[in-house]
Amino acid sequence: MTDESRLQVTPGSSRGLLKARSGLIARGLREAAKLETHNDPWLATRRLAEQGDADAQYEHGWEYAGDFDGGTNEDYASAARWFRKASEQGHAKAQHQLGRMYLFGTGVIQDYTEALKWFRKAAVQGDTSAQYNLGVMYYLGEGVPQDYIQAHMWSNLAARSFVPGTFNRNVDLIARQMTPQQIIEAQRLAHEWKTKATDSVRDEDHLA
Amino acid sequence: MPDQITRRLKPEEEELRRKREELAAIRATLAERELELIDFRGQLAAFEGRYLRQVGTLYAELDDWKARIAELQAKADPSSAANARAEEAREQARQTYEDAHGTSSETHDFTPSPELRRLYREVAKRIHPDFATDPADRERRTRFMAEANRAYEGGDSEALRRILDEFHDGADAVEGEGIGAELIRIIRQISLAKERVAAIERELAALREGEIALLKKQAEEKEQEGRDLLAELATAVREKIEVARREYEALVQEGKTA
Repeated sequence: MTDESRLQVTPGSSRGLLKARSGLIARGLREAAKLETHNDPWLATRRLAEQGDADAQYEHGWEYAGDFDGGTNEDYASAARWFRKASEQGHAKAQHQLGRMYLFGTGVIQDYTEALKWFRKAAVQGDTSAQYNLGVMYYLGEGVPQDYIQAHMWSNLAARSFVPGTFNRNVDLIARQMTPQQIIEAQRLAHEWKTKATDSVRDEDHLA
Repeated sequence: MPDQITRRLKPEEEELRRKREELAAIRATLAERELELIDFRGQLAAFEGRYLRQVGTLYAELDDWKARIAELQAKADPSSAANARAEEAREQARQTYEDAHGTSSETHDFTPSPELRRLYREVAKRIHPDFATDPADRERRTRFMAEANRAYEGGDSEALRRILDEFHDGADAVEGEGIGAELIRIIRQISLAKERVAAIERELAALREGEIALLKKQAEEKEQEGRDLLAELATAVREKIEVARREYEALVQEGKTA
């Protein structure tokens, strides 16, 4: 009598457990593991975010995005959703992140026009990273006709807020493509913007 | 009590008596283990049914949205890679739907009554195929046992009683069987029963390590904290559905403007 033939009489055999080809149970387990890492601080942020707190929405977006490494598409889509909620409330850092997600097509469908829109909103609020990215988009003509003056202006604004390095190099690179008049115009725009920005405190979002 | 005469058993009779006792004991153990196994499987199946209804159906919905998105993308960009992705996503959605809505999802919680468990234990003790005297008897016992399993899972104690009534075992001895033959038969039955007990242990261990048991264990731990794991999972999946739905709608809009 082989072991196999004896196992056929195993009680309970008429109620076989699911042989889940679609991995349904495993998915539940993975999701449960995620819930587990969502400890109390997570829930606290979550609640605040749901109540409409822009900072919490931004934080919560990062909790999904991680460091944009090894997350699933679903995670990134959730991240984009929370960044958007915060962005729509004028949260500059969230606007910058949302712009990046559109730029690279992470969690959303790649869309340069949308990326440019959110970078601009964050840039006029003085977000240096967004200013930098906006400059690059103008320089490369992504989602907007190529415009060295705008590229120079935004890169220049970003460079001023950073320690010398990458950002300055960008300005130099752009300047090499420009006539002296264009550079002067770009510098004037940057200066004007800077003066205006310090005068009227960060409600230029609506102008953009 | 000087008049009391105890006839001394011959050595083989003594051995037979001991083996009969051992067989009786292992029958009780085996019945207990079979009961444990069928109960555990029942609990897992019930939990699985609950999971499939509460969470699995939502995964089916999510996968359907994902398939729709992939199909739209393939329509907009009919490359062979996009088409393959769309087909794959649709197939996944189909499988998830089948699993989530299949027969396993119809298993409901079931708490066997003490009387039902007693009857099953009795059936297992008397009818278990491992106590068969010959192949024909074994086949008959296997049929009865399978029927008893169904009756137990259906909570049908009347059916279990009927099975016990209908099953006439050849008692513990087979007619015309000599002591030596009976001894050999019993030793064989004991060994089969021991093997079966070991097999049950292995099966229980395998079940305990299985995915559904792990999920069930986590659900029980959450319950201790006053939380509802399945409800939390359902919420998480609903959120994903919402994201997928919006993405789909965005794609539709894009298709219109493009």
